[in-house]
Amino acid sequence: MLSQGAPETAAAGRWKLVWRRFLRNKPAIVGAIVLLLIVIAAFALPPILPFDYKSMDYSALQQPPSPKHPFGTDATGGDILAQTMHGLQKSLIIGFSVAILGSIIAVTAGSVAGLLGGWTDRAIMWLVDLLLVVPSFIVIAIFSPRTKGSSSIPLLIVLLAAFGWMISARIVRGLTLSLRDREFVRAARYMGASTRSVIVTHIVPNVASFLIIDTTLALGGAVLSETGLSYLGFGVQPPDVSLGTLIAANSGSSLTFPWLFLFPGGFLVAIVLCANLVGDGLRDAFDPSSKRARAGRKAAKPTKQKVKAS
Amino acid sequence: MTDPTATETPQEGARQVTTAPLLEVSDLHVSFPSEEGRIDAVRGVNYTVSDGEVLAIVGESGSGKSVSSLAVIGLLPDQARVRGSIRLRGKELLGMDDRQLSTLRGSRISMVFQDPLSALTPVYRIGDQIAEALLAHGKMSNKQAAERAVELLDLVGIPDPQVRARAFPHEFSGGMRQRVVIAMAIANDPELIICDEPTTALDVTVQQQILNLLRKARDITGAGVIMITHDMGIAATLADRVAVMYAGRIVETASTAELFRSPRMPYTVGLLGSIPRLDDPARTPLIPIVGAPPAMHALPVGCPFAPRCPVAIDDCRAAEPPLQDIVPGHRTACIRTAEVGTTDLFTAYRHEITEPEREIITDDRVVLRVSDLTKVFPITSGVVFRRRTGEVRAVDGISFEVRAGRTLALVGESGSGKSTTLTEILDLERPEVGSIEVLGNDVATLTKARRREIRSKMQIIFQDPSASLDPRMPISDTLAEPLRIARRSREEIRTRVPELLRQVGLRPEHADRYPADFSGGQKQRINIARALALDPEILVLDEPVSSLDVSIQAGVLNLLRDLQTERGLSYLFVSHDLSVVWNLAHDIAVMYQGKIVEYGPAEQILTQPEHEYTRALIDAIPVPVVVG
Amino acid sequence: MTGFLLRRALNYAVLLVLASFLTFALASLTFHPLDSLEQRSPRPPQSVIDAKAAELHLNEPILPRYGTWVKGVVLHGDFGQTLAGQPVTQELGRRVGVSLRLLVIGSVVGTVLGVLIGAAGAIRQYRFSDYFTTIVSMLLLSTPIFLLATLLKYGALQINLAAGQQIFLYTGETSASAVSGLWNQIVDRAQHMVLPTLGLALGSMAGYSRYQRNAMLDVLQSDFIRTARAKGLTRKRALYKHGLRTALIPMATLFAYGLGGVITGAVFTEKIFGWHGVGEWLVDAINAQDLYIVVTATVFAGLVILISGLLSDIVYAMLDPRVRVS
Repeated sequence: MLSQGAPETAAAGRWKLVWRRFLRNKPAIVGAIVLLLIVIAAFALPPILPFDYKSMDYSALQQPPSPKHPFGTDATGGDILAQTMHGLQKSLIIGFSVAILGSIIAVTAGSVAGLLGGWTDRAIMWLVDLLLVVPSFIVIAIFSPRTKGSSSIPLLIVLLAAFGWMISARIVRGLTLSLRDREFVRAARYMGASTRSVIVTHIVPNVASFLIIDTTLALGGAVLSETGLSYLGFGVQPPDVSLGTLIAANSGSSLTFPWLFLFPGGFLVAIVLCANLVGDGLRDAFDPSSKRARAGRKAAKPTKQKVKAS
Repeated sequence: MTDPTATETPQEGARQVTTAPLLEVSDLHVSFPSEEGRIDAVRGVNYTVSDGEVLAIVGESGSGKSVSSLAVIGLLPDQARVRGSIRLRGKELLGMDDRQLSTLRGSRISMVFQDPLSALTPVYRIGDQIAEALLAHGKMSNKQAAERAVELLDLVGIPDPQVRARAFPHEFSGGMRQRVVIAMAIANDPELIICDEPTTALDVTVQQQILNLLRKARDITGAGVIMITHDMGIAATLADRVAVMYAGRIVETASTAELFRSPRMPYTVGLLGSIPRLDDPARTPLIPIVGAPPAMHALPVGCPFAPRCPVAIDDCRAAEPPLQDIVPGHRTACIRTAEVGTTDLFTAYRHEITEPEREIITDDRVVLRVSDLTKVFPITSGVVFRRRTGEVRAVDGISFEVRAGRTLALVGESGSGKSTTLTEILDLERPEVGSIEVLGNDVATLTKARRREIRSKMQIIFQDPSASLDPRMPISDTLAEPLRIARRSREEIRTRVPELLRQVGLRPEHADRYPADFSGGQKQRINIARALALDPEILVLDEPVSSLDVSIQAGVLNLLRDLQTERGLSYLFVSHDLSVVWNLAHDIAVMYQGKIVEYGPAEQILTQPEHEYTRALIDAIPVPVVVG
Repeated sequence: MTGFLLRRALNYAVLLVLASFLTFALASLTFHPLDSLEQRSPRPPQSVIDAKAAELHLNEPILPRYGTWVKGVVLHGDFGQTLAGQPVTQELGRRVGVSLRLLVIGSVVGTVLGVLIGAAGAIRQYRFSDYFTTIVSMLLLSTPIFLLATLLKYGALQINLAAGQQIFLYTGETSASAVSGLWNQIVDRAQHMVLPTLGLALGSMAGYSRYQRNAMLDVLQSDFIRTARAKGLTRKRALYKHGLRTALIPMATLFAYGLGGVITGAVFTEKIFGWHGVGEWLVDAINAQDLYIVVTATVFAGLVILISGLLSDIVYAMLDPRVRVS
């Protein structure tokens, strides 16, 4: 038998390739670093700060930023820096939990619907439609008396996740449907593989990349939802502190004492922006040719080359 | 022998021919950025085209044939870097901006692309899209353009053109859409028509019609034609001159007659030798070219074909041979042309292969029997309650048998029902009508356990080698999967996997690589290895070589043939390509619209076809031989 | 075609009924509208509390209560009563008008401008204008609407101060004091409308422009664009004429989903800019635990989504001939 020669490229594994492509995306790297710094600051700073978020410094009422109070103080002498950090903690925890929980629900529902088809598929998709029509915002708000106090943050997380998975599930279902008819899945079935083994061996790894991207992007959405609810007095409520409550409490005086709401607002935008940048970067890194063309000068368009160079 | 540089071309109705070349490409270089660095897709290409002349550019994937013509019409992606010279009647095209080139495109140079199904904009009507080609260049009113569009539709053979002009692209079949594209291409009477694999995506009978249409278009417009193809048969029947490309350069060019009579470049000879042909005896081993086309980002020093060349010497690897005249009008890029003639080259290739085994005497056991198989798809309509208003008989009462150690080929074009038949068989469920018997077991009586056993005895190989392999799994896992499903022990799996790789001619050390690291031919071999894992008796093959390059195809076909002789495998083979079928099959069943119209031993069907459809199929195949 | 739409409408209607029931049930279970009454000091006598409870049907089981309410809606157009005893319909008409004005203009402006900007961005890829719009879009998408609205108010204040006169008015829909003359009334409304509409539209604009840009970049690689250029159309012309039209098709489905976000945004906008629409009403009602207002507002929101869903189906069929069944 003639030997057919060595394979051409020694691409040492997919994950290295994805990592390399991600590293080339400067905005994504910046976003990842900034996000990491914010997370670290939110949890590492408060213990070492002179003031905590509940303290009131009567000697400095509504003062602009100063060395003693780097972010200024509010009308009751509360330190904005401490409050912002505490609010960040709350918003980050809720955001990450909702994002992860929501993605898990989305992947499970979507892949089951796509793989099993028939009535299961129709039932799940109908549920998706229903949840999209029900104004989630209203439902969560209605629950708000129950979410008062920090013991019911888990309830808030569950609610936010329960209303945030629908569009992702649709996409996962579409992915699963196209995977189901791909030849390697058919080949596995013709080899006699059970449905469960097909899901575990073939479907999950192929959907994994979507899962990662979706969780990252969902982080931004979850933070926005939570702060929006808290702003209106639903979700996280005083005396508990989140970025939303901070902005709500202080936006009245935004016109005259801008630092009161610019700092919490700024951090809020920063988190969401970084999450979006990282999410986009991941999406490009996993599949550079599918969704959009990358920046030309440094571009990598490998799949296109195979087609054109013939 | 006619002098190819003569000013006369023997076609009727051709424009007055001049000696100044219509198109002159000199020292063309095109490069792209990629994951691995800058790739030189085209590395110094020179050719000319005269009025009324058909130049065929032949090559396989990676040869650069499409890229060079995209450069001529100026439709390369923005990242491509082009240098050299492209002159249309003396006027330099390189360096022109988009606006200037747009005035040339569609009026003086036009192009017909490969995939007709995606070539037309889905949201605009056909007539409007043709009229757009006219309005982009001429000064005519919308009404005049619409009328002319209908005339053009009639010219390219669309029936009922007045009505059809109002249709949308999705209402047309692939062949009809390609006719529309040709209509757009000739609308403004171009001087040069470039055709990039225009028939590859079409059925063979449709291909014949389109090729005839292209010939007619050339006759009407007197244009020069560049025909890019991988099919030597098309080059032989349509072209006046042929240029063979390999690894981004032209390695041989001559008049068609000269090239097919005495090819001198080893690659051309290898290419011609590896094509399965209807005029060869049935089931002859083909002569593949060893190895695979080179990776364009890491070309070896010297002649890029040297690693695969049977007559390569050390000097070949020193420097790249330039394209030189051997005889006026016939050029090759090989330093050994003077010593090695055509016959020597063919002989050298034959030494590379082992002697074919004698065909073993098989027993008459029937391993697969299908009787009166029918599969009907309902058409429903109705808003709330879906009523069945009609049906599509995808498979309409067919019967055939596959015997042990023999190959049965199901031949048909799209819509014939051959793929549906395969699915029905592989599902191992009782069919709607009729019966299926696998290895003596009627599928209607199978228990779950028995079905599992039978599955291990009957495996499938699909058409697209990449889609059949999970991109996320290294191939050792892919090969182990069937063994794991059959609950074989870990030690057994560990020894079996390298053994399987060796059986299909791959190196066991590469078992931990991913599918993306392998070429198309290698991937198909991996698929075959996986199918062999459980020692099957029957292999079902769905167009197994259609996606492969011609020279690679030969190797896979030889492998399949050898495996059959060694192990007594039976094959059920589906294909639309009669030459491939002739090369592998013992028996043939011709399918048309769900029915088998002819069935019998291969020799009988192909030498004495009875049904007119079979005859049409055979006629439609372009044979790589130049007559006269 | 009409059959398909009818089926979709039916589907949406069923979903709407279910959604309203869910909200009704949920609110009935979690609201304690008598809290404010019970927590008054001195505590009112039990009979008063009981009377109020009976008035609000609080002790009846949920399903019949819902049934009564639905009957009232379908037969009499009666959406129930507020806690204060006023019929909901009275306020509803007024508030719906306010909200619709805000929603329609905000979403239309956001969608149309978003699509155009996205398309232009894809065609002018790598130029500064594309880069700029991408950055601005990313920022806008990361900014919650309440923050954006507040910032707009802040900016408007600065502009007003700098210009010395009130160009932008940001409290309410019209000025408190009466304005005479039709022209002046129009100008007055416009002055009040700019900021809230802008706030609402910017978010949609950012979202649509990104989606449209991506859709067009996908389409840019298509074969039919290449065919159009091979016919002789310049790159720009081919992209605008063939690319945009085809890339619009997936946008139609986006519109239905996008409106959900616009409605939520409208709630914040109404609150911040003092527009007395359904959104503001809703927030107040949830705080006051006023059941019937909440359910009615839910139905209103659901109805808007339903209509936009149907609209997007129609637009999709108009744009994509492949969907139209002959």
